[in-house]
Amino acid sequence: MGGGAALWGGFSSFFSIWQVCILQISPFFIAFIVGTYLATPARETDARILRWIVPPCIAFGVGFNLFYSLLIASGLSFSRPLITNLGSLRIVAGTVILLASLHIFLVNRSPFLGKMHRPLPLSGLALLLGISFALIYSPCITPMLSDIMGLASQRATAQEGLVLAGFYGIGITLALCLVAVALTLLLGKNATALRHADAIKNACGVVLLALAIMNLTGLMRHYKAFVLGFVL
Amino acid sequence: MNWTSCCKNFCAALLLATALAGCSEEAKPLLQVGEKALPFTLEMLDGKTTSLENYSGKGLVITFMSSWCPCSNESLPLMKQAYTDHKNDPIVFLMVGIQDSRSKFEGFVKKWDVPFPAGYDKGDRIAKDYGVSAPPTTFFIDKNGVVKRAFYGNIAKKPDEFRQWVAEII
Repeated sequence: MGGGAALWGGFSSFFSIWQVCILQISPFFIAFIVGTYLATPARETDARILRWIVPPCIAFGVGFNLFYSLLIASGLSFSRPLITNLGSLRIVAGTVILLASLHIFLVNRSPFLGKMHRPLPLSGLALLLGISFALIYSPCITPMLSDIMGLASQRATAQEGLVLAGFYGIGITLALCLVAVALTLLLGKNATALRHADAIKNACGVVLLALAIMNLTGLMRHYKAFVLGFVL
Repeated sequence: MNWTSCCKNFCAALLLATALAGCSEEAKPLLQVGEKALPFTLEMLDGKTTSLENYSGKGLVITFMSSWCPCSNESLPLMKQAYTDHKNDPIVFLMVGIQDSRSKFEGFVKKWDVPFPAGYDKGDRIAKDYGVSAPPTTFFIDKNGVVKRAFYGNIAKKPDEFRQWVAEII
């Protein structure tokens, strides 16, 4: 299996039945990007939107893929402490998501947050959010991921598995970012949505807040069991 | 302190925490094929407890599943069939519920009428020891307690291999 095949496997899984599993992160990432856009001062409706949302998408992808592939590569000794301490790290992840939700809620009310609401600082937040989402995500094992995990779990082949898991993760984040960007571009051209921009922005904050609470309280397993189980 | 500094400091703290965690966990063995399986104690759905020692002298197929996972659902018919085929052989099938609510996992076991023992891994402790990050994951452990195979994903996609791996540990 090559990197291209792994990348395609991750990308196509987003638009298949496996989206059931990606629902653990996809609505929350989209809420972050949409909320970020609606909090921008001018809410540009042209290509300038991309200046605000593409760098955070790239930063999210970097953070997500780094930790996603490390968590898959359980055969690497460096990954072992991450897997063993996943419970504690998920609390840290919940705290980061909480900060992101507060940012979206308060950005128009706090001059300090307003000043920080620029593409570069937002990319820093997105990087941390990417790491956090990788920590909270329990992937469903698609046939391709099954082969990758088989390699990544054994010491002798763990590095090869790590690289393939990285490509697979890039495929997922590429699809996720394309959907988030497309949705934001559509939203930017919709007069009704823009009229209710504050309400939608706050709703995005609520969605992220819910994710933060679920991770801080251990309710995430119930989200998986009930919401994902219901979809299934 | 500006936002960028905050982010930098947080990253540094996260890396430090990971590094420190790595130091404290360094002594923990890494579950690998060809090595001894790690001991565990599992609370069964009927309230009793079981542990790895209970299965010494027998092959053990231990599978980590979740009710919400499509692959776990698809894997079960084959798993049940293998259990029926090897009912009189020295092999035990054991299902462990992970990343799930207890009530949903109990419903899942009931829905599929799972004929072999099933337990709920509270806090995913056994899963962590076994390096299981996602369901379904299945380990094939021989009568000497050695992990002969590890399989990640939908076992129904590899029925012939599954039967062969089961036969290997009897």
